[in-house]
Amino acid sequence: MSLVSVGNKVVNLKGLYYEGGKGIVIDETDRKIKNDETVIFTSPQDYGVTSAVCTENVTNFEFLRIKLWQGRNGDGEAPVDQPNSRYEIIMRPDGMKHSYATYGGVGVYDWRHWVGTVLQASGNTVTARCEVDWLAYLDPAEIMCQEDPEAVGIVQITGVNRI
Amino acid sequence: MSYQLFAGGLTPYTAGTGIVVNNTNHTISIDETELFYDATPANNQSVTLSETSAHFQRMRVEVWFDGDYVTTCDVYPDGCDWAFASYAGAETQGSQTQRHTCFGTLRANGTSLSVTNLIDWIWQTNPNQYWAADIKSDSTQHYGIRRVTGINRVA
Repeated sequence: MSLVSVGNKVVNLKGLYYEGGKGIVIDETDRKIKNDETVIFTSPQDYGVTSAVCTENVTNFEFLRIKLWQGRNGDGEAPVDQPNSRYEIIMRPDGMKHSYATYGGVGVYDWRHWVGTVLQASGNTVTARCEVDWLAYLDPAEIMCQEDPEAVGIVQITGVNRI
Repeated sequence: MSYQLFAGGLTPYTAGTGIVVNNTNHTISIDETELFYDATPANNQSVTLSETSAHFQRMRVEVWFDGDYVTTCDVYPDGCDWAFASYAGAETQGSQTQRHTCFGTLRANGTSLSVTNLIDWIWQTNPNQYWAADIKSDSTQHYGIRRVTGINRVA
């Protein structure tokens, strides 16, 4: 008989077992039901990692949950001056280019940034590249655009639903 | 938070909890159902789901853009427009590279799921030019729905 803690209840999970890809893990050690999510990369710093080498192959999972840092605007400012916003994306490790666009925060001299980023996962490597950075300066109204590969950095990657 | 597991056995299923308990094969799993998938998507601006969206608390939609770019958006099946933005990739026009940032909406209503791209910011890298384009009229083949899942069954 397996005993599993659910909140403050202890329940009998007679015959219950785990199947890969179901999103749930039964931990027989601490007797808890947990989300099937494994940390496969954590950055030692919170910016600048554009190619993350994971501890296992990304195709072992149904989804990847990737936490990114964004802010560097390519003008050579020191990191301390940069916006420090975060973004999280869920993607399938299916070889497709997964992309997103989001507000990247207020940089130095009051420029507003809107960045577009592409993520790709292959083998045990996940890459992130900011391919477009739209900048708006409010007074006087002005718009610029630039490539800025280092405007994003991978902070953490978890694999969701082991298959 | 409510619990649907009880000592001495498992209730077969309670909607809306995010977890499915299957007493037949004795498994538990995340409550997410695939409602549409097109492995080679093109021009799927409106797709028919295999089940009404109202049966689910939320939808998760993969929107495909030119080539093999995909973005993931969550949508509530309330008949409202849900906004998204995504970088939609680079394309070569002769000797120029154009980069696209797309803004659009998704709407789930019954068994219908539709995506509308309202605007496309285009940046041409050489020479450095940028402009906004309404792509509804001329570029509908450039985006579509790739995959739809329903999350947390509620009915």
